[in-house]
Order: sequence, then C-alpha cells, then structure tokens
Amino acid sequence: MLYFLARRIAGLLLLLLVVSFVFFAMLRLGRGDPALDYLRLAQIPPTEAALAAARESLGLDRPLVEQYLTWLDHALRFDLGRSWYTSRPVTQEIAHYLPATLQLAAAAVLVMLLVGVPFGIWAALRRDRWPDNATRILAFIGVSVPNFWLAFLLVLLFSVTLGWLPAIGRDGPTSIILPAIATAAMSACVMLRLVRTSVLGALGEPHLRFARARGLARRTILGRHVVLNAMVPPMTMLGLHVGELLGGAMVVETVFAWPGIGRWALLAIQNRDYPALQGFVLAMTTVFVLCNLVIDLLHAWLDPRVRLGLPA
Amino acid sequence: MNRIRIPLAVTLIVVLVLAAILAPWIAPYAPDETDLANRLQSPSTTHWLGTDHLGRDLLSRLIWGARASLAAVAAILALVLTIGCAVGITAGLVGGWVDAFLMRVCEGFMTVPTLVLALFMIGALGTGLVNVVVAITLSHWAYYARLVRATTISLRNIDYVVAARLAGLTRFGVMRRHVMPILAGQLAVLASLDLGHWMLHVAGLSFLGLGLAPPAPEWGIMINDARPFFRVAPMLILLPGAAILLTVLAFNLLGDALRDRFDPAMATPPS
Repeated sequence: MLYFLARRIAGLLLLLLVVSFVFFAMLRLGRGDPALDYLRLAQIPPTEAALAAARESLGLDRPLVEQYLTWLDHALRFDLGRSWYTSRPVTQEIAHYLPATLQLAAAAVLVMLLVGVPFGIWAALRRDRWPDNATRILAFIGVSVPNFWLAFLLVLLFSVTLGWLPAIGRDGPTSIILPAIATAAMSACVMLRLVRTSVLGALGEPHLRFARARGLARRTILGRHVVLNAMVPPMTMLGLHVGELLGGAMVVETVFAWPGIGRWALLAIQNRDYPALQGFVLAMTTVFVLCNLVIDLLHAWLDPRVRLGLPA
Repeated sequence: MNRIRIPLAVTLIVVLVLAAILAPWIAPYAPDETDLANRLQSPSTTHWLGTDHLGRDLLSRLIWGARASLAAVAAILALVLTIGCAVGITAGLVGGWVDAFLMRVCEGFMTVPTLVLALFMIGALGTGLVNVVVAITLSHWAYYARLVRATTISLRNIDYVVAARLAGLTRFGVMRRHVMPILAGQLAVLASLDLGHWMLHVAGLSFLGLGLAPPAPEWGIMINDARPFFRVAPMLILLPGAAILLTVLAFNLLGDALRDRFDPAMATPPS
C-alpha cells in the first residue's frame, strides 16, 4: 500500500511540474507583451523607459527557462508573486477565496452522492418499472440543463416565490443549499445512471447464486456483494467529476454572489493579470489532482487488484 | 421512446440549424433594434415573446442567438476531431518515443479540470468567441487523441490487418481501409455525446462575459444581461435558458441513440 502511494505521488508531482511549465510558457509566449499589461494594471504610463524597467524588475528580459526556475523556486516556498491588479500576494488571495469554492464543491459532492447513489440503486432494483423510467427521464433532462440557468430557476422558486431559502450571499447554513444543488445537478444525474448500470451489472454476477446457496439473507447479499462491488465505477467517475464540480461551482458562484474564487479568477482573466492566472490554474489543478489521489487510494482499498498492480 | 429518439433529435437540430441560417429572414425584428418606449413588454401580437430592457424583440434575439452557439459548437467539433485524429493516429502508427511523448502531453492536458483550463486559456488569449472556441478545443482534444490512439493500436495488430499488410497494403492504406471506418463510428458516438457538453461550456463562458461582447445576440449573454430585471421580467432569463436546454437535449438524444447503435457494449441492456 505504501509503495502504491509513493508511486502515485511521485507521478503526480512530475505531472504537476510539467503542467506548470507548459502554463508558464503559454502565458509568456501568448498574445501581447506582459510588461505592457503590467504597466496598464499598475497605472504607469507606458513610456520606453518604464517598459524597460518593468521588463527588468519582472525578469522578462531573461530566458524563459530561467524565468520559470525563478518562479518555481518561489512557488515551492508558497510565494506565487503579487497580483498586478490588486498588488496583494497571490497566495494570500487564493487562501482568502478558495475555501468558499471548496466548501461549495464539497457540498455539491454530498448532494451528488445523496441523490445519485440511493436513487441509482432504487432504479436498478425496480428496473423498467416506474422508478427506473422516472429517474431515466429526470436524469436525461438533468444532464442537459445549464447550471447557471438552473441557479436562476431555483432562486425564482425557493427564494422569490416561496421565500424559504436565501437568494444570495454566504451567511447561515441554509445559504449553501441552492448553490450546491445548482452545482451538483448535472453530476448527480450522471452518477444516478452510472450507479444503476453498475448495480445491474453486479446483480448478474454468478457468485451471487453461491451466496444465496450459502443461505445468506437477501439484505446481506445486496449490501455486501452487490452495492459494495458496484461502487467502484461510480467512484472513478466521482474523481473525474470533481473537476466538473469545481468549474461548475465557479460559474454558479456568480449567480449567488458566493464569495469564492470564481469572481477573483474572472477579474484576473479580464485584466490579464499573469501572476494571478498562474496561481489560479496551479491551485485548481492541485486540488483536482489531490482529490483524484484520494479517490485512487479508496479505489485501491476497495479493489485489491489495483493495490497489487494486477490486471483487473 | 427508443424508437423516436433519432427522428426527434434530428428534427430539433434541423429546426435550430435552419433558424440559425435563416435568422435574417425569419426574425421579425433586427436583433439589436432598440425601442426604449417599449421596454420590458410582456408577450403581445407585435412582440410575440415580449421585449427586453432596451426594447429589443426577444423572439428575434433568440433566433439570432442560435447562430453564435451553433457556429461555436460546430467549430469546436471540427477542431477537436482534426487535432484528436492527427495526434492519435500519429501516436498509434509511429509508436516509440513519439507515442510516449504525445501521450504525456495528453495526460498533462487531462490533469487540469476542463473549465479551469478553458478559463486559463481565455486569460492567456483574451476574451471573444473565437478564443472561447480555441479554449474549449484545447481542453477537450486530449480525450479524442487517446481514443483514436487506442483504436489504432488495437487494430494494428489484429490478424486481418496484419494479413492486409503482408499482402502489400501500405500503412496509409490500412488507416483508410481498416481503421477509419471503425474510428468514424466511435468518434461519432463520443462527439455527439460531447456536443451538448461543449454547448453548455460556450453558454457558461458567454454568461461570464468572456465570449461575444454584450450587444450581440447570444443566449448566455442574454441571461447575463437580464439579471437586473430578474424579478420584473423572469421570461428574459427563462427563455434563453430554455433554448440552451433544448439544444443540449437534442444533442444528447442523438448521442444516446448513436451510442446504442454503434457501441452495443455501452448500450443499456435490452429490456
């Protein structure tokens, strides 16, 4: 298990390193002159002298690889530079905005599991009867709904018409309910269908007949042999959808004025704020990669074949 | 339900494409024709779906809105398929370190959540519909390259393909005669299932104000524009969203039906 963990972590670190270099290069080699963007955001008139000074102080006159190594050196000490727009340290800004987004994404994962797993199992056990057909249609519509639009619908129904839940902001535990539902809707529907397929697959396994023959109760068989075995594919999907949820959370945030990283990133994008953009993509990728590491570990724990590196 | 999926999806898509192409002739008003005296009107005989906060005809803007969205999705489709096939076939046929290198690049792109990558790309390239298309393409091509590579490799060593090679068929010939037909089916399934997903990405990015600039008629922008009038005129948000939903639904219906036809292993078991 330890060997498995070490191998996975080493691989991920290498991947992060490569990805961060590619992004660094993309920003530097992309459109326009970063020094010009810097002066615009710092509100310094772009004279030749000012441009030259900016290039020197930002290190833009040095070779790309050297610039990257300097950035990496700082990044390893949790220093991602200062935002050109707000001139506050990027690390500090991310630490300020990211938790709200993570909270929303975590709540969305919860909604996704609470809706997807039980209803998926139910649909599989009542295959082709009304629970299956109803969830099938619902899931089909659910994966086609734009999350930001669903957010407006939820506000219209639960805040404006019924007045049950707050429409915007982040105060009190009830304020996260609507944003979490809007963020999770699509993934929950995908999860529901996948759980259904997976449970149906597990129900057809020949070893269940042996379990029946041993005299195990139907309840035990369903719980231990069907549902637990059927949870592996949905878990892999959960890992893939964490990225979807993080992205979705950033869009939904803007509707609910949820104080997460979405709005901050939007400002960085519109202003071409290089250090902030770099920090943003690095932070989100790290979160995504870490979530997938946790999923992988769960996977290895559930499925010994993965842990031992055997073919599935 | 299963039997009407394809006709239903095709009808919906044809209607949307026709609306997009014929917009200048079928839209009752120009999409940017303001009429401040008649702002926020409810539906009437002159304005079938009412007007927005600048007195622009909602129906006309919805019809024109189909243009940007469908054009963007079509462009993404073409780009993703081109890049995915080019990289995947190269990796699969050449093999060796070229394959290893290209696959590491793909993994790199797949490490970043797609929307985060798209946002970053727009940050690097600047806003605008073209850059939104480029950004979404860059965040999705890797999945296609992987599929194309896997299919190419699995077919390369199959007996009848080896026999064809021995009989003197060139690599290119193998690609054209034996790999492409199978690949086309797989790509059709994957792409039709992704069309709706891309559509949602385009709409989301436009909604965030990163796509076309505001006066342009586009569904995502229309929703964003209408936010201050949400309580007085919810239709201004509901209808463009419904247009997005309907388009995505049509794409997903098509994808689902195609998957059942081309990819029996993935299909829902017959009941």
